[in-house]
Amino acid sequence: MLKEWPLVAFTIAGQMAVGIFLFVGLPLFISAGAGGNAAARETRLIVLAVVLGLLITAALLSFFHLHHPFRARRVLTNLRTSWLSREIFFELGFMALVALGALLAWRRPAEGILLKGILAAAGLAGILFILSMSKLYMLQTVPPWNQAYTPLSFFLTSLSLGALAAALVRASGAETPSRSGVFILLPFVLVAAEAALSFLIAPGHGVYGHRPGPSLRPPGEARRTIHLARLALLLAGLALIGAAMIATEGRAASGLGGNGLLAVALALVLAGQIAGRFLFYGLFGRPGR
Amino acid sequence: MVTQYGFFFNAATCSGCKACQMACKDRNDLEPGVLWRRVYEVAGGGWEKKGEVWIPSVVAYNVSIACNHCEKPVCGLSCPVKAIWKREDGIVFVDTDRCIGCRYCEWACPYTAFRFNATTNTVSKCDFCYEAIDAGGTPACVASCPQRALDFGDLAELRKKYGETRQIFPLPDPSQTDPALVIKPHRDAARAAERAAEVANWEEV
Repeated sequence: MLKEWPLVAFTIAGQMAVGIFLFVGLPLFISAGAGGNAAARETRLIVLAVVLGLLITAALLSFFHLHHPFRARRVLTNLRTSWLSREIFFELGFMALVALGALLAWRRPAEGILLKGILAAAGLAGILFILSMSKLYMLQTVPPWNQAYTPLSFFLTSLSLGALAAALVRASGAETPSRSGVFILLPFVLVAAEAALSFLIAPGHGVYGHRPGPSLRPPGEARRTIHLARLALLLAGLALIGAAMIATEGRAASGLGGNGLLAVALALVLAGQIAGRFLFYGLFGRPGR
Repeated sequence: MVTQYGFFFNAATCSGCKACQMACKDRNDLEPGVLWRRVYEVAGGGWEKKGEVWIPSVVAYNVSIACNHCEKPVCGLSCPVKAIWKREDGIVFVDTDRCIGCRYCEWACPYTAFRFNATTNTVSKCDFCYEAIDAGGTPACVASCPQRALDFGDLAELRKKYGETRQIFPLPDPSQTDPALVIKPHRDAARAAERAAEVANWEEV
């Protein structure tokens, strides 16, 4: 399962980019209108730059998965039947629309409606990107992947990381702090849902030594360790998000304390996601080497 | 003219000698660890109490499997660069000059027919010994079987000759891909699942 690190990096970075765009980028542009003050405009551009950076990083890391990366230019030739082609198509579409939106926001901030239209289309492309990523793995030949857990887990990763980033941006005070309490509650619920899902699905994934059958023989004993690490990291992140809420008495998590807690929580949840994704790839069992 | 080549495998006759596996490796000069044809050793069961008597309920047989050159090759449908294609006679090929080495076909194939070739950095699989076939010969695996447990030919003819069975434990549901395969099952095959049989040589195949 460790050899799949480029795919772990690609999927997590891609999902995080979509989550940040949907929870931070899109709401900032929609709520702020075309203009706004210089600081708010700068924040919006930084968010789009972060999303683009994550997408470019994801794309570059995915090349490490390919054994002939220079032939990858043909990867869009089978859009008719291959979910892998479709995944890359939607990733590139999402990336292009975000880049176009960022360029427009930077050079012609007055183009309000056009900009919002482009960013709304980018949001749709981002959702289709994650959807096609899920479908890619839902193969009839790999029963542990061919279930609702795959899209649920992929979307939860995207939403929880995006919501946490949104809470962090709100807490930093760049935007109106009055509704920041909601922005902390949301990642709390999403990370809790993810921890609960990973706990519930664990027996079905053979974490406790269950052996589904000859064609799905688990590769080793690493699953249990990785599963426990994932749960511990998610729960630690959850505790810190809870602490950030308590520290600010349910109001805005403004100030260094709230920000610091949320930043560490984001790092912990991200690490938990990475552990969970390694576990996901470890579910694929095949004979031979 | 043949429209779909296929393999026949007689599980009732196969002794598990693996001559087919080795003949394939030899003909195609496959590197260690790469097997285009594999012999799965299926084993299960134990002792069963019937009244006051303990009787053996052992399940043991072999399954020799390569690429089944499926009529609905999901490998080709999943390949993002269309590097997997089907010839007019039904043989499924990998274009190694086009393959990007993403190995998605390995996940998609329910028969684990695709094997990564570290020399070409692409996937590889059984090509039905097409050069031999085109010259009027026989695939290496079929020719090497001392038990005559393997046969090949036009799928329609094979079905007329040997029947319609396409699946025995532990092979997947054939409706996934419509494999060009006909099997004569071993007598233990019907009871393999209920007796918790497994592939005993998992690491080998």
